[in-house]
Amino acid sequence: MNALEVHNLSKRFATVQAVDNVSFDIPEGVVFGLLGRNGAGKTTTIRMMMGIYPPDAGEVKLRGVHVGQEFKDAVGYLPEERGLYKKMKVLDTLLFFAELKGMKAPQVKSRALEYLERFQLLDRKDSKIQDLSKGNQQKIQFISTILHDPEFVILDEPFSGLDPVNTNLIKDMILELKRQGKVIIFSTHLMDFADRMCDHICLIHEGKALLNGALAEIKKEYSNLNVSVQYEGDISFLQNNPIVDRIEDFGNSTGIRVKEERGIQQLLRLLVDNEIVVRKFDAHTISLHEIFLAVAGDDSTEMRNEEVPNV
Amino acid sequence: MFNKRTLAVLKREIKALILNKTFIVMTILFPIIFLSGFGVTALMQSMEGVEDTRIVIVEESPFINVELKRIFDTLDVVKNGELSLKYKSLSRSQLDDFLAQNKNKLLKDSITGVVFVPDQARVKKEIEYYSTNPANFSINNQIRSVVNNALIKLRFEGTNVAAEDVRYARQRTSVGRFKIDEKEEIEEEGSGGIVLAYVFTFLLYMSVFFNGMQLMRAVTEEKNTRVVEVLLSSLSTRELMAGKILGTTISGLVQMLIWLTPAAIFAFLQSTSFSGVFSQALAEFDLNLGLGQLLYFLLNFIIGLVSYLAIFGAFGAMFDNEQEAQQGILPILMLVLIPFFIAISMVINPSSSLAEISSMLPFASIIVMPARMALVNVPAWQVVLALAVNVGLLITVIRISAKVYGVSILRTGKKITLPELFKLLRYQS
Repeated sequence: MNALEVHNLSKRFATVQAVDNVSFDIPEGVVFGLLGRNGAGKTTTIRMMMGIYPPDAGEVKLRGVHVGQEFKDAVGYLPEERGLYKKMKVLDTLLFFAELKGMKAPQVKSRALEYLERFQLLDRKDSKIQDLSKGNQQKIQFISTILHDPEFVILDEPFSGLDPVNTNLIKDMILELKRQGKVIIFSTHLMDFADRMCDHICLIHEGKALLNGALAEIKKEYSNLNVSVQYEGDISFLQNNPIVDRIEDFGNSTGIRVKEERGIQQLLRLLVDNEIVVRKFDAHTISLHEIFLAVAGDDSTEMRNEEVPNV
Repeated sequence: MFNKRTLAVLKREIKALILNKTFIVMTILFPIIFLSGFGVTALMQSMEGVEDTRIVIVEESPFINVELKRIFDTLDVVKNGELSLKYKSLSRSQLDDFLAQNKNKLLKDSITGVVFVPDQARVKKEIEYYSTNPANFSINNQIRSVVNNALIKLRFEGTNVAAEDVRYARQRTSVGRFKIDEKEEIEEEGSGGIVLAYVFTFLLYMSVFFNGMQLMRAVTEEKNTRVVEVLLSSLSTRELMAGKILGTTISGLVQMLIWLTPAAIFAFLQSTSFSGVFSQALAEFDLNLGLGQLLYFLLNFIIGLVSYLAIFGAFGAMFDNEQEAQQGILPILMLVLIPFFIAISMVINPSSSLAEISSMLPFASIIVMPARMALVNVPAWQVVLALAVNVGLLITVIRISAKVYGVSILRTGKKITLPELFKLLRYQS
């Protein structure tokens, strides 16, 4: 049985169909990526899953049962736009958010102190949130997300606005949570991260789910006509070649999609004939980024220019 | 709606509100500042006395100065030199010259003022006072009473009217005020009812205003800092709002009890024989604060505060930041201000039909009824009706506010307009 099932969720805001009949399944113990550009409908989908927005249509099932308060209690949620009470003290903040999840303060206090120590914030436990740096506030917010030991962790754009150190910290925590058997759901527009971390994905574009399932299977399906090439020389002659469907050129490595299976051999011959030095010619591999472009169309070239923090 | 999550929000809210400088200042310092404001006013009035006052009394023709001097010389202020007087007889044209010559002295205050008693005063009882500060209450009073006494003496002297009769004619009639109510004995009433009406009105107004603005600010801040999204991943909008409103209500109640303590002690002192020493001073300000009245006040206060808080909370949810919220708040404040002004104006005539009707209208009742009860005996059915109206208002307001809060709290960016809000509310229900 799937841990979570999302059935036909829809939500309309005034003139915009923010989410349009989106369905996907999240198996137990996976890292699940909800992918798409900014404004694709990821946050709205997550908010409906959390019961923050009532959906216009559709439902979310937790192990086969319609979600309710017990799901809210079992989730740790990190919204994209982070927020804490500025005048509250660090430890009070952590205990308050755990209490909202039904924990009693003495139960979680020692856990809270452990996390603070691990994130090197133990000496700040009585500081007001407003006196912490932005990076430290993000750490506190992340601790408050997982302090009550939730079964599900939902992170909306967890890496946005993080410095490289915090990015690593959160990436490590995600992997640790995964080892503990938690279900991790995160949304991102950064395909590189998703490619490296997710087991399952759902790709949302303009409110619609274009792809969903296990990432390995999706890749298999999409990589048949794909070649990853590392080379030296000028391959611009390929741009208008009839055998080529699409080129993703990164300078000295390129993802090339051909129109038919036999095009792969023709492509290799073309490269050799044009005196391109081929360092690596890898048929049947594809990056998530390429899949995204293939599915969501050309208007998403800006994705490549997004800042990709170091992982 | 009320569960451990609501309780967690409530606890946090109380802690944030009560352990806060604003609360301490408002609760402890405000009454002190307020009372000392009254004190300073009273002090100023008493200081505006006759100290170091030099008056020139001018009679148009010699008829009254001898008598005036005789009376003035018996006064303590004259004996101890605080008030010094000079007497002159000048015609009106000579008076003008005298004033012109002494203008500088008057401006520099080496002459405080000039009193002119024209011959006509014997008939019309009209005199004139020239000074840089002709409105000085104490001086006016002092002079008026002495001149009046002298004029009366001169008029009746040598007639066959007995001195006793003159004294009788001079005396003012004093009205003893007795309040008729259900109690067995008829009690003499002082100004206590009016004081209590003012106290109730001001306290209700202050509390609703202060706590309402606090809650509005807190809701807007949660929205502004995006904390609300984290909160809503744990509880529903109803649970969140209930926790916030109840937390603010409890902190408001604590504040009100602190404010009421002096009045309660005052009323207790009056009701015990212990007050013997004070009884003379206290009798005039008998608050007549019965237990039933106090209980009604508190019950009315709690119902009213929750209703107003629901409105302020829902209103705060419609705005992204405090500035915007404060710009649009006037219509909401009217709901507090209009009843406040009705209650204040009612003190002059508590039995007017405006007072009677408004004490049973939604919103107005919350502030007007306690003041009215302090002033007159309100029939029991009216009290019950007012309570029923308040409870009805409470239920209606909470229902509407919960919806408004629910649809507004996660909206950001464009401000929600009224037509949009109505559409959303219809859509939600």
